[in-house]
Amino acid sequence: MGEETTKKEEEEFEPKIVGFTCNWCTYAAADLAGTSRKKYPPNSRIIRLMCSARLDPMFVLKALLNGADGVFFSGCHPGECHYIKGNYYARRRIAAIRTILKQLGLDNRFKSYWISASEGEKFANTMKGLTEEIKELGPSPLRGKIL
Amino acid sequence: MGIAVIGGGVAGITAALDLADSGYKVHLIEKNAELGGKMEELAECQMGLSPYIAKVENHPNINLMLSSELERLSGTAGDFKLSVSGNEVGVESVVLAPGYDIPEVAKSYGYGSPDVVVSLDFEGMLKAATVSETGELVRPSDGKRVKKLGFIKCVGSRCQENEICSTACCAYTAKEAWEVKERFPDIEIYIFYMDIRVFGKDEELVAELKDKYGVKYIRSRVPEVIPEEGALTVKFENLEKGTIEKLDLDMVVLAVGLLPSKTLSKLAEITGVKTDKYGYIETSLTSPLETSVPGILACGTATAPMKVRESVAQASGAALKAAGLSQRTEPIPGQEEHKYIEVGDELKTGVFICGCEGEIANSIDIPAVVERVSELKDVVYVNSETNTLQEAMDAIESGIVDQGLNRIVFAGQSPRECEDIVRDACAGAGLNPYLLEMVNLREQCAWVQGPKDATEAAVDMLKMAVERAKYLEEIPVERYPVIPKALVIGGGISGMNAALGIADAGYEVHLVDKGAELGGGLRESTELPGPGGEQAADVLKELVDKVTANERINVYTKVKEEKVVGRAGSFKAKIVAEGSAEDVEIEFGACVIATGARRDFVPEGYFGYGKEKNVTTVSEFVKMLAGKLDANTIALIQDVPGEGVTARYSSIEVVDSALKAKEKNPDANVFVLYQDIKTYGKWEVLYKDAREKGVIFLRYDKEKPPKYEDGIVSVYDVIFNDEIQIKPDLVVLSTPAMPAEANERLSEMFRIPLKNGFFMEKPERPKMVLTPVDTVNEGVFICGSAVYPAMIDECLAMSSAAASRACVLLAKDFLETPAMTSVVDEEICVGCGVCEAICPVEAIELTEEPVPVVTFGVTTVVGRTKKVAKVGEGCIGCGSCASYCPSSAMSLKYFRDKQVYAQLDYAV
Ligand SMILES: Cc1cc2nc3c(=O)[nH]c(=O)nc-3n(C[C@H](O)[C@H](O)[C@H](O)COP(=O)(O)OP(=O)(O)OC[C@H]3O[C@@H](n4cnc5c(N)ncnc54)[C@H](O)[C@@H]3O)c2cc1C
Ligand code: SF4
Ligand code: SF4
Repeated sequence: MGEETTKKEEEEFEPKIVGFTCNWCTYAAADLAGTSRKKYPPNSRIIRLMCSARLDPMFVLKALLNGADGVFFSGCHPGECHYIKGNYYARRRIAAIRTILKQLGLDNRFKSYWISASEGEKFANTMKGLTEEIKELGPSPLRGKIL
Repeated sequence: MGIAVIGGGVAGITAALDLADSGYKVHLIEKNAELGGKMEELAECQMGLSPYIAKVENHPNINLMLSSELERLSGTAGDFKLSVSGNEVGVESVVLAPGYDIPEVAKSYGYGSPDVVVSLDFEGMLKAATVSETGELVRPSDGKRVKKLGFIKCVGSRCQENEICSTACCAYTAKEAWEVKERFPDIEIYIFYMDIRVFGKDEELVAELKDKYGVKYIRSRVPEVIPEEGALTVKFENLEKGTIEKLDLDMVVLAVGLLPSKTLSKLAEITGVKTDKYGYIETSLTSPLETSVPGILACGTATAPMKVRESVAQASGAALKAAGLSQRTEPIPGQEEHKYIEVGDELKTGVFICGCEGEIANSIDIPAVVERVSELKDVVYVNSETNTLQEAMDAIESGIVDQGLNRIVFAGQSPRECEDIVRDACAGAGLNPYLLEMVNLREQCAWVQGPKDATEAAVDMLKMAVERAKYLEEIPVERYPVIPKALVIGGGISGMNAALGIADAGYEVHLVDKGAELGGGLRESTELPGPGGEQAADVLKELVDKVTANERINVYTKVKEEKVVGRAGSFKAKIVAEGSAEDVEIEFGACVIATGARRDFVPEGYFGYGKEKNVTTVSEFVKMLAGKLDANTIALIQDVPGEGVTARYSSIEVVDSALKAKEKNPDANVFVLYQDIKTYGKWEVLYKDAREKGVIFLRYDKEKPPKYEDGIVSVYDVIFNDEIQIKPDLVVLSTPAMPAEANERLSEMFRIPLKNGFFMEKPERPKMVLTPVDTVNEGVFICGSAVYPAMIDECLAMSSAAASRACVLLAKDFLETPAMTSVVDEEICVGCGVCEAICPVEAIELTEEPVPVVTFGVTTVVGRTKKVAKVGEGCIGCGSCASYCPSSAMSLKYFRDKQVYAQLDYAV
């Protein structure tokens, strides 16, 4: 019985995911996924930043503290940044974020990708894969906790 | 008076907008009831064009005449009288942009079977599949899913009825194949072709299709399509293998060519412009935009088959030329100073949900969303009655004016499509345009989620937006004067032509070149390709004379430009003379980069080049052709590997010089070894002529390049399927073109990304270029071979386009300061300098500031200074400083921490 209910709970678990994207590449890719009607799970909420360089580690932490089960970031491929070096900075930030999250045991809930404006299919597939991955992980330990 | 633009396709729209935006009255005459031309029918393109159409429809300076046709034209340049569907219109100049039509396909290639379709119809099928229930691509005959799809190229081109190559079909076929593969990865694709005539990005796309997507490109002679019960059998001669093969396919797409618009002959008769022997409006290599009638310009696919990118470049260029004959009579929109209403403390948020002509209303339960959004605190008004962008804009304006709304949340199509338009609506109604928050309900919700999920997601997205809107603040928008001068970098044919274009429009130009003389790469050329036999020197001399005589152009040679600061409308730079410490400071509002390409790649060692004196390059060979040619066997080798890119003129140059050699010395054996002959457009006849005159073309495979040993060239010819040996007196290598040395430096200075060393245009939609001369740095334009090594006519059209875009900007008296820049909170700033080090454009400076008087209990601290960061004019709003500042002193306006946190609070 007990097992069954947990299984059922797992099946019904719909993760909440927050994504940060840059305006020029990944946000455009998400638009392209839309124009080509590529369906993907509804679990992610996207926050548009102009450039990946604006990704502040605090944003990621805040999202997790708010109870997000997963957080992702995606920007232009390295070398294709609209603001020249933005995504290099973002890469360094991401490494820093990971170090912090590792200490909290949350680093598997933070993913980063490079998706360019023409990769609508990749965006949709990434959303599918990510949602599955976070489902596997189950609800965030911080979910529902007021911190 | 004004200017008449005939044809409302992408070319006509572009010309009309450039003119109207710089204050000219435009009469846009379109025979159909709608704007857009053929692009409206293309799957991937329609969306990209829609904001431009919306702009035309609402432009105060454009008199839009739909369902109208030109009936009569009289008068001369400066004073034309037009009769348009019964209306009389007086204009000073005319731009013709009537576009193209596709050929009638005879009952060959199985055409007539429902599963054999022409590409334009296939684009329609792709669009239909997008919105259909299942989203699948199905066969017209039985509605079954397509599993094997074939494309046949060159249908109705390069044939008896139409000798020339249609230029666009190789690339659009690649794009269609890409779209199919992206969306239906399981569909197998076979493309039957003779040559793959693509350049630059399209070349990369074809490589990707072959390597990554597994699309099979099959080189074959005209295949036969045999429709049989439930299948199409394609019978073809596989040139690579030399065998006759059969392939069963579900559907076949015929990549039809582009022909002159059916209306063109009548239009030519009415206007008196000459057409060429293929039926296109006649223009020339050295005046690609001028027709035979002064005052009448032409652009787009009415002059030759071409892609959108080239069509719009011509259109902008033609607009500039037409403007030169006309008087500015209209105010420039957006120049009036906005007075924004005072926004008090009380939040009054208005939410506008647009149905987007059913696109949103079909998958989202809008009434349910409205009900939940209305309950949110601070939301005082919700409107969901609008169905088009125009209606939504009207609703927003009246919401601000009549209801006193002071925060606007707009939910509809992607902000990437319409944010500027919605901002303008807010500003027009007196609300600071940054009190607006956009929700992407169409692209990122309605189109990607099932109905139930979509409604839930829509509610969440709106909650996030309403919360964020609370924290939005008025961003002061200041106006600054535009400096009515331009800087043109590069004094080659493109740079000189751009300089003349801008100067003729009435602005001062600084034209700089690193060389001692004007003329650039063309100085190395002799006779230009083609039957015209024009001499490069004559073309150059005419331009140089015009430039030197023009009082508005200041020419600086042997100089380098340095230290560029500022932004669109107001730049500063230093011009430093070679070997001198002195410099000149110049100011300018716009910049055109025309640094050209280098032809000096040395194929050192390849075929013994450099050691063997009978091995030379095409550029040297062209010069030899001017003199006596004593070589009886000549082998020209195309696609010599090396750094750089294959120029668009590369094949033309090879074929032209082979033909000229043969004409000069009819007994000579002239061989051309090649992978693809890319004589696009009308240049195809040169190729045909060369073959007819006996030039022998041998095709080799990239994997088996020709070899040269002991004076013998051996090549494995994939058409004869045999190794062929030639003992040439002369070997001529066609080498890649290389980017100008200055590009790296200019790229950093102007923040314009490079691709393979050449400048990149502002990216638009993934596979379409609507702004080929604009860059990510507003106010900086690129043209000519600095973008992609191109033929003279293309360089001229493109440089006129760059001049036109620059003039649109220079015509303005004022521009507004960018809103999304960083600001520092001086009190918190500890002067650590992290931001200064990280800013990619060096916009931050640490300055010494006096610390205000502070009193601690009884002691008062005075007279101290501290270091604080100051954000200067150059800030491009990347936000690096804001996320790196350890004391949170730096914030990026519109993306402040609290604004993002607000979204986060409702995201989970
Ligand atoms: C199947 C297919 C796919 C393509 N895909 C791509 C692609 O992916 N990328 C790309 O760059 N290019 C592509 N092209 C090429 C592209 O369509 C053209 O480059 C572009 O549309 C040309 O624009 P235009 O304004 O010159 O002509 P058009 O689009 O033909 O517009 C001409 C307009 O003028 C109007 N008109 C004609 N005669 C008159 C008259 N007498 N009076 C008033 N109005 C008149 C017409 O009604 C029409 O609206 C494709 C072409 C085809 C056939
Ligand atoms: S070779 Fe020319 S005519 Fe043939 S498909 Fe390519 S672009 Fe079209
Ligand atoms: S936002 Fe970017 S460009 Fe602007 S000052 Fe900060 S780091 Fe420099």
